[in-house]
Amino acid sequence: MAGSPRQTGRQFDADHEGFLRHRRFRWLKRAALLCVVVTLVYALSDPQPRPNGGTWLGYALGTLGLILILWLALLGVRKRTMTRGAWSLKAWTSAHVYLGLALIVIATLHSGFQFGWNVHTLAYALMMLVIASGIFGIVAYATVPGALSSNREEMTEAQMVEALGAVDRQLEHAAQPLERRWIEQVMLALDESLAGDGLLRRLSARPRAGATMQAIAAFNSASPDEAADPAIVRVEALLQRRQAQLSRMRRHMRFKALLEIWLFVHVPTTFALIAALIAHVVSVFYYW
Amino acid sequence: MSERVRIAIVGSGPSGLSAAARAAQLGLSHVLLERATHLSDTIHKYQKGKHVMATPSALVLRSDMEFGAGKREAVLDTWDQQAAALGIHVMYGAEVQAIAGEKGSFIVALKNGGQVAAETVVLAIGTQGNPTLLRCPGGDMGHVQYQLDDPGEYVDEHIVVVGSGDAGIENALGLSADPAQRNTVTILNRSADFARSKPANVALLHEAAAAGRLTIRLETSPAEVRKGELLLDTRDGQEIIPCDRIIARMGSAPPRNFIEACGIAFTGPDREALPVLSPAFETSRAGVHVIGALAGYPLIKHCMNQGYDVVEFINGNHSLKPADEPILAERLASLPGQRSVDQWLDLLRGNIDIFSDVSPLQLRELLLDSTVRSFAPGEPLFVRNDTGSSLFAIAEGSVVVEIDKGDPARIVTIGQGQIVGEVGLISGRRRGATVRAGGPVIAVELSRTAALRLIATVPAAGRAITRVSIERQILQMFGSGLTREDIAEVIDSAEVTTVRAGEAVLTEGETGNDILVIRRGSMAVEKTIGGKTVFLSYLPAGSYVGEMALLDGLPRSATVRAAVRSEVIRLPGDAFARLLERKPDLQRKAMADMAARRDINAFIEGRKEQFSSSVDMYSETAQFLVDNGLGEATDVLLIDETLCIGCDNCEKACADSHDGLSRLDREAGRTFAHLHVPTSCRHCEHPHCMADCPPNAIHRGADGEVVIDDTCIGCGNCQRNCPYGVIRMDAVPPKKPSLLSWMLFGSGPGPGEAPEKWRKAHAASDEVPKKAIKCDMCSGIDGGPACVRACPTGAAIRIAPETMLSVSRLAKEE
Amino acid sequence: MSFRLKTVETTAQGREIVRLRDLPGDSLTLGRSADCTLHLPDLALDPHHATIAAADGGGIAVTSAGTLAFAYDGKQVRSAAIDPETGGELRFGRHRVLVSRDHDGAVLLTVSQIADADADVGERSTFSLAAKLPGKRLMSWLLAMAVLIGFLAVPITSSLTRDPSADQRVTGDAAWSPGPLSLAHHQLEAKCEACHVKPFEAVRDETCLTCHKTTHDHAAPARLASARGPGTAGDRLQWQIAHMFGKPGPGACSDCHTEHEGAARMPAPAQAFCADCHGAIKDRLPDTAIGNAEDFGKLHPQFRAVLPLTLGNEKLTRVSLAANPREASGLTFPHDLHLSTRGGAAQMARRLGKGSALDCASCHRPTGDGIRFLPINMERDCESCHSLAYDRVGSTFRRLRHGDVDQMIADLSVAPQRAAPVVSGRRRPGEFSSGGTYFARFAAPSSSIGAVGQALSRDGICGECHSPAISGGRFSVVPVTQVSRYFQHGWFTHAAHKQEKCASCHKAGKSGSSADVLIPDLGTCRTCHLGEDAPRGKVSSGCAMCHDYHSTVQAPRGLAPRRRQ
Repeated sequence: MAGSPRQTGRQFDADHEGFLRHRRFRWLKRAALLCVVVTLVYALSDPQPRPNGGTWLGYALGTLGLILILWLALLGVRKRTMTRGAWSLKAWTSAHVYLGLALIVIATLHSGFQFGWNVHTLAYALMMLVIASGIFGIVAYATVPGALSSNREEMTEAQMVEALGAVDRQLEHAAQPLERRWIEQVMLALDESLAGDGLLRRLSARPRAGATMQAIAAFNSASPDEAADPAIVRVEALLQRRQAQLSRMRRHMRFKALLEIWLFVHVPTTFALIAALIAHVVSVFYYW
Repeated sequence: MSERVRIAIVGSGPSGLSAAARAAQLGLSHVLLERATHLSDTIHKYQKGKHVMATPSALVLRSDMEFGAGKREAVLDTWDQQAAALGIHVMYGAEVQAIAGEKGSFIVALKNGGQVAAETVVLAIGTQGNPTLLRCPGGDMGHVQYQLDDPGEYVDEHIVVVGSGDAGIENALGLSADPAQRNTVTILNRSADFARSKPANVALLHEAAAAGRLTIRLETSPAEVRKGELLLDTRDGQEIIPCDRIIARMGSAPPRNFIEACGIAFTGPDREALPVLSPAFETSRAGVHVIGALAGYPLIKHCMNQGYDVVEFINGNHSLKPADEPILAERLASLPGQRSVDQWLDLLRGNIDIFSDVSPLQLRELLLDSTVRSFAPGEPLFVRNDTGSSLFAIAEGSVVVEIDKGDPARIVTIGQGQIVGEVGLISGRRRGATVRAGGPVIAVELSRTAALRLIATVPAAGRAITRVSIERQILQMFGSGLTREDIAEVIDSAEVTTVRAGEAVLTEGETGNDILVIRRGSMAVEKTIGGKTVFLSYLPAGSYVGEMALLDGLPRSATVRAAVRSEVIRLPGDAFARLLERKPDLQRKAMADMAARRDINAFIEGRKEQFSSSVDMYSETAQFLVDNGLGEATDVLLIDETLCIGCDNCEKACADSHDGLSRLDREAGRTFAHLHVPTSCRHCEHPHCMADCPPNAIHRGADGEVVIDDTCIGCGNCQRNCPYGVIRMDAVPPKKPSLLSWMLFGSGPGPGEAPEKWRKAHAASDEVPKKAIKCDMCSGIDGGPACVRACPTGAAIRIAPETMLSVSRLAKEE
Repeated sequence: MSFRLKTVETTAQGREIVRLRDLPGDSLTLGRSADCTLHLPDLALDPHHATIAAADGGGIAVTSAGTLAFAYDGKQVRSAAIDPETGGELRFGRHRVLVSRDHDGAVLLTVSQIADADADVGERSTFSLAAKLPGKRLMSWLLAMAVLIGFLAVPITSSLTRDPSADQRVTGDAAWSPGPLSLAHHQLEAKCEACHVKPFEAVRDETCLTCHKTTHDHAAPARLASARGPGTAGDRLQWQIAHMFGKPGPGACSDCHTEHEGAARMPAPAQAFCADCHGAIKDRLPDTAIGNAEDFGKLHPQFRAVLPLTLGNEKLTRVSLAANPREASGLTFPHDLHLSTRGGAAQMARRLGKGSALDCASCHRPTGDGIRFLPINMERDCESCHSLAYDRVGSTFRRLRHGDVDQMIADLSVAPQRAAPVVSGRRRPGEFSSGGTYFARFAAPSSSIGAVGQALSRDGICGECHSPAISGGRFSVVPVTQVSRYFQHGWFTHAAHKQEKCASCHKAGKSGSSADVLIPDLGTCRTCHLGEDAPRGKVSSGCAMCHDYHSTVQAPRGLAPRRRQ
């Protein structure tokens, strides 16, 4: 009856597993099995004069690999086309990961360890690069999210930006009565924004001594009677808040960067790989 | 004092205006009394450019005024023109104070001292009522206003907002939003906290105050309004602050007091109660008619039709059939035995007990939100585990209830005139039993709103339903062959009490042997161990507690507190004990239940030592979830942030499977121990959003999802009522270019909700109306909720709270 | 003269807020501190930054009070005189002050703010890397295009547009080569089009034959086909697929000779390729003379040597060694007698200084290439012992002519009789003549014919080695047939077997008759040679070691390296 089956269907999701352990490593098992079978066949068949892409096994593995690669590349489409039906992107990702790793075996055996400076080895190299970046991604996905979540402490990105903006406005206001030398510090601090951070800086874990830090240092070195000035105290406190907010955002950026960076290798290389595969196949049949 | 008119119409809203138009058309002498300085003030107060909807589309408009969906301005203009064209005689600034005299010679006293003599009076004043006025010296000065159309238009002013409701807070925020306006905004709150307003609003307010954009003055109220300044009563004496403008948002007094003052009887004491009306909209005071929202018709079309009708009636045209006649006729046509609508109405009122003292008018209204169906013998009215909150009243024939899901043979017969399905209505949970037609049956299915209105407006019906529901609930709960007679004693002494969220109904260690049945809402069972509160389990509506103390006579072994606002039925222990003695197998059942709970207690006791570990963690988590509204949730989206990579694919999927608007905000929301509750609908058992939906566009679907259908008029009530802020008002964005063209050439904004900028740039026309959108659990999309399907890492999960909130789960996991 | 201040601000909703304020007095102060007449909350300014005063002549003078300058029409100055009629723009920090004259003659100072540069920080995109890296889509396109153009478009276009007649090369197809060519084809490197003639057409035999003109078929294609047999289901499937892709074969050059396997010698096709047909050739070609062979060690028919079987008949017949054939060479030559270390032969050897006894090399001389042996030559190999001298004149001997029976007869017939000399003055009893001495010849009479018959007789000088025969009614000997290559279809070279003694294969020492066939048989070879996958210590010998697919008189390709050594 209407409710019950779908109801149970939903309940099922309640005891959840991540994409790596999806359905008790279903895809890990399948991929492993595939590798074992392929390796066995390779070991047992002894093609003449030597194993390579030109033997029947070679062609078979090649076809298998090609189909796999194209299918794996389709994850990008699957992820974005919200068609109906009981598919789960988690399952796809799981399969993507493990079958992708299986490609290492399949493609290597396809090559029969024959490498050279040619389009065929180029395709192989590209594939390996894609897989390597993918492995980085898996590691990132497995390790970073926890930190990301604890770092943002229920703040949304918009809120972070807004919070910084709020601190800045208050700084502007609070710094008005100060002397020029202080103000210069404050203005420098205000100019420090995240947009400036380049790729490497975003990825680097060590805290960066930016203008805000320096401003704080300068204010710390204020003489006792200056330090007594409530305005100075307020501004320093605000600077501290700004610094705290900045470093939170920097950490957030870093985690995001870790989660994203590999895709900038993975995706373009994938397309290069597909192109190389086309060249590989066509050239083989063109000079048949 | 002018000469007497035939009809005095109070209020120039859609209904009043339509009535006046009819009168003008018929050439009846009339006067239209409008408090404001322009027609239909309510719609006038809509924000600029708001799209006014014309629902239900099925209903034919019968009025001399035209009306069609469109912009506020357009609608108002047409009405102004037509009013002028028809020569309606309007009296502006005429606020009615009292109605004296009787039919044929009424004297309507106006606030401005004027008087109007009329033979009949038509009250079309709607339900807005009058804003509560500033009752202090100078409260009537020009710069005191009671609403705020456009916060942006005030600059460089000292503005004081009086009133701590959502309206007041929103105005204050609006005025102080942009520092460029250099407004000095102060909000006054008589009490010490903002209890009456949404937490989200309060948070924003405090944030703004912290940022120095506005000032909050607690326990402060205006003492005297002067030119350019305001005298305040504060906790520590009086104080004067500069003030160029006062915005008083102190709520509005419902018009009921005024109506009753006019000597008009209401159907009951409840808030939803309506005036008692004859089929001709005549109230208990002869000659005074009530139409429009006040008569229980919130929709513009209804109102305008009534305006037309009432004038026709007054004009002596009694053969006039209401405008909803065709709808009803069409609804009833399919039924066997060709009866006219009126015959059907009589039959229903005659046969069905709860309809016995319902006026034909109310019945018509009820039927508009209901369906009358005939069932073939054996055909199910509803099936166990269906979700459905509708109430069935049996007009002809009888139905059988399969009380035991084990064998369909064990049945209870419910005869003509009785009701079924009330448990679903009261508890908002799935159907507890299958009900089939015993023979040919004709039954009325009242939608939840209709049923609730009935309960509210017809006290007798309310009482009947309540008793039946309690009785049935208990029978269903304890099953084991009990009969109504067996439990009669218990029922008689049973009492229904409402419990605030967090209030304890049972306290660990206290003595007492009452049995508590959770009628609606849900409860959390907790136990204090080593000074720590351990969350034992979560009890949905329809379960009972307290049997342990009754059976073993020991003090309560655990505390039971309401997770959300709930209703419990308290059954006196002694009566119940006697029942148990009479019914050994019931006793056995109770024993079994008790054993189960004992195990859990034992499990917890066993865990005492290592309490820094799992159990502790678990009960904190559970507590957190309950705090976040899982208590009343039926299905909620959780995100395991140890897996969430923040790709927002859930949001994108949601947007792409629901015409381009995301119904969830992944980032926002509370997090505890990496368990994140994003802002998205929890599909509450008793959805707050359903509370006040003029077109009754919010329903519970087949899977228990709460959905807003496309009859939504975009009034925004649901958005305001939702305590979790998961409903948004937005217009369907323009169509995006195909995904392929985005992937290949980056044309369009890509998957997910298009950014504002893009939507503005590509908007087809600015005429797209805003509608309320919320999670519908992807109902009708096979494969289930898109957010879960589209999560690449499996971080997003949907759960029903029962599956999560039981420590026994933990026991299993070990 | 009075100043009028006009401030313009735009709200978030884009609404402009204009505020007008008349400032009394004919000078006003401008700065950050709140007590300035024109208070600009701008950290870039001094508390009291500048003074604007009315100058004579309706103009105004702007002078900075502190050390900091301001911008006047873009120039950094510390004082400026402006005529409101013409107007001018002052800039203090983030604020812009436009000077103009209002309709009623007041100096209008319009103050507006310059929007912040980095307003986009508010966007969520700040957090994503997309802001910092070239877009994935762009990169994908670029990379993919680069690969497609470089490795596909360029070679294909050049191969399609090239003019084969004027042998143009295809550019950029080097990257297509899966591996370097074998040494044999090395000069074809970077000349792909030489073999890959037509696009999408597998290398054809004709193409190979353009260079390998002399190579001829192993057998008639029809016979090859039937010999190859249907093959297993797997093979058939493979071939179906292969043919779908237009691969030639089975039996095409490229089936056995795979290229691009590395810059080494093209390896000899494995014996498997032969075994495919020869493993069961008897069943597939019932009429064939040859037996099944699939591995020298396991399945190989007995050798068949070519031998003269009947005396005097020079035709050689191929006969299996299994049938212990007798070789009718026409010679009588007991190897044992000659090789024995005692007896006449050994004596003779010693006398002639040929060591203690004769050995094979005394008579058998290898050919120049060391593969075979020269035919035995009477004059060179035998005559030193078996002299043909028959007369002596002084110190010279007269020899019979070998190999020419008529000449021999002629010589012998005119040979001088050995007549006894005339006896003179001999005394004898009895009265004969005065003195009683006699002169007379007392030898028996003889004829030359007798001598020839004697020479050709079994123990005559010729009969010793040759078998006499009468041809054309005249005396003669059976002609001698010497076989120079016993195995016509297998290859054998003595050069490769130098380290072996002759006797280890040829049992000459025990052979008492020249009819014995001393060619080693299958078994003998197998003592060292086993199939392709021979165990250690044995010589692994694929088919290609002795046999050649494209049969030539040359040694098979399989042996070439040894030949080169």
